[in-house]
Amino acid sequence: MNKCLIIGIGNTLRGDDGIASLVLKHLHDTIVSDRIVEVTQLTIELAPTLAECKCVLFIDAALDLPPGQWKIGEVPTGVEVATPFGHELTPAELVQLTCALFRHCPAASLLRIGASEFDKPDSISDILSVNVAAYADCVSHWYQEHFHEDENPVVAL
Amino acid sequence: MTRTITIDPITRIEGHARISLQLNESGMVEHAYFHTTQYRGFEKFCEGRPYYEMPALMARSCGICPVAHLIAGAKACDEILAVKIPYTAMVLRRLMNYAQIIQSHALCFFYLSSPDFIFGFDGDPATRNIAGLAAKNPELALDGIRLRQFGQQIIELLGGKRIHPAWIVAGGVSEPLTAAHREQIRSKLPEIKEIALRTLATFKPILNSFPAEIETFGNFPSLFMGLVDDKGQLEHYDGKLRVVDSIGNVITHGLASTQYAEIIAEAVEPWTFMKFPFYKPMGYPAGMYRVGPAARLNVVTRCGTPLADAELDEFRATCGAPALSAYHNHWARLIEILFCVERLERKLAEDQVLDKHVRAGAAPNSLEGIGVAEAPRGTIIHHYFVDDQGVMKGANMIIATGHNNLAMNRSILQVARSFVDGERLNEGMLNRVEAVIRAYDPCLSCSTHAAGKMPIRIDLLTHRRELLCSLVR
Repeated sequence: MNKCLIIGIGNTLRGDDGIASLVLKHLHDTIVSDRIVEVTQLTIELAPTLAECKCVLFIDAALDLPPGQWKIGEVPTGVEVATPFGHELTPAELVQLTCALFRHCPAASLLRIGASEFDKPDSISDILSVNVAAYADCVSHWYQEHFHEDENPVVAL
Repeated sequence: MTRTITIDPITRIEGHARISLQLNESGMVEHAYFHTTQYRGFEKFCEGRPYYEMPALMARSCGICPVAHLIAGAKACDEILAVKIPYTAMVLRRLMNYAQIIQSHALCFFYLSSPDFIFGFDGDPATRNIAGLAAKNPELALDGIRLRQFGQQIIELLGGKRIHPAWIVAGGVSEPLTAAHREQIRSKLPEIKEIALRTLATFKPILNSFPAEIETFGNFPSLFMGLVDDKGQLEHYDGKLRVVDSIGNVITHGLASTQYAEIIAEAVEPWTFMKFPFYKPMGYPAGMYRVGPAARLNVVTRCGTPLADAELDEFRATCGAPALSAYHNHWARLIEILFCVERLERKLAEDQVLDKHVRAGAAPNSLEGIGVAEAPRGTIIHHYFVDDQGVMKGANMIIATGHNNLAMNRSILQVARSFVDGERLNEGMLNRVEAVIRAYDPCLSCSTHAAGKMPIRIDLLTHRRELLCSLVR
């Protein structure tokens, strides 16, 4: 239970919603591949994977931040799973379900990236594109902070 | 100059339902209507497309059981090509279908239905879902997650992704199975089989805790239809159509699935976009039949695998042969999961499963193709017509939810008559209507994405069609 995991959330066919995938591609050679998961939505089937982790970082596009800006913070624990949708959970809900199922809560962080255009297949808006390296840097810092207990540490950038 | 484009009706949106209950002059429920309020249009917008796009195109009609549509579509295209696909391709298609049945049945049983069994049909809706189940019975919830995950992983290993894998194609499949992936699947089979058996052992004792629901959840005489193999055993990929009546007499035996039109016709009603297939020899609506897990167990002679056959004996001894209550679909689903695990074990042990020859190639040789397969929810039929260049001229799809349409309407009427007092709707009533629909596991429930809650509106109407009250979720 000492793994660190990075989960990118988003649909690459929905414009800025695919920003997480682009960030992870940028980090392709620097983070061990089995520590990266890309999903279009969070589902409960990810709970067994989270249960094996010490810490997890979610990356997702956000509508409540100005386009291009980003913010990293802790995912709250102990939240009520208020909207039990089968195909879509928030990071906090997924963490809570993991706790309920496995009696183990990984420390979870969320990197939110302000997005604006969701209707351009395979295309990220310019303001996000120019910042991809900065987002990736943020992810790398998070990983560096946590990797010291990870059995497969990050490769030097 | 501005131009206005109107799209009406809106197509391809996900399903929501409306139910109307109409009272008679005495205040008793006389009619029940299950309205599918959106038009999907798949049969129309495929016209003009090349035939080989059809499997992947039609698979988009469902996010839960796309594999069944891929199989039925590919089988129809095999007929258009007039080819016999390689044995290994057939086996690999079967493997993916077993995986799909496991994951879909797990979704229906554990995520959608088991909260009713654990919390009761009148339980608090706020906790009567998979999250509530995880809190109260994490072991059960975890078993469901592992089963579903297992099925999805097989689909991904074979087809590259979990939903809408474009791997099942006209003439076979696009890629062979690797030895590493075979071992990856086989290594998990013992655990999965144990979960299937454990769930059966957990479910059976609580089965009879709901006598009123067993009695009223679609518990009436009807016909049942499904595919069977040459020995009359459970068959999900190929085989022939068998129909039994409500006392178990086989009334259609060994009909080639491509001859489905000899026994199935379709009716329409003005109040819903869903068609009403019926058993042609008995006419409409008397020819009501059902498909799906319980129907499949009702039509087969045996399952054909040891553990599933043992469960089938118990199922028949307890539920009757045929089992008439739609409630018994839940038990049948668990038996089918076990059957699929046993079949996966058997098929993966074959040396030929790793053969690299997995696709036959040809140009269109026939102007028509029919593909039939068993989806988790029941038999699906794809019927395609092409021109001599292989361009689609038309298509007809009869899907499992459609086959069950008459029975679902009758089931809602039965539940309403048992649980509606004539003037008022209540939450328990709403949940039981949901639950009886859910017992059929229609595409409606999966496409609406809510675990434990369907977006349903129920209207209670007087005999003059005046609205008495509505319940909306």
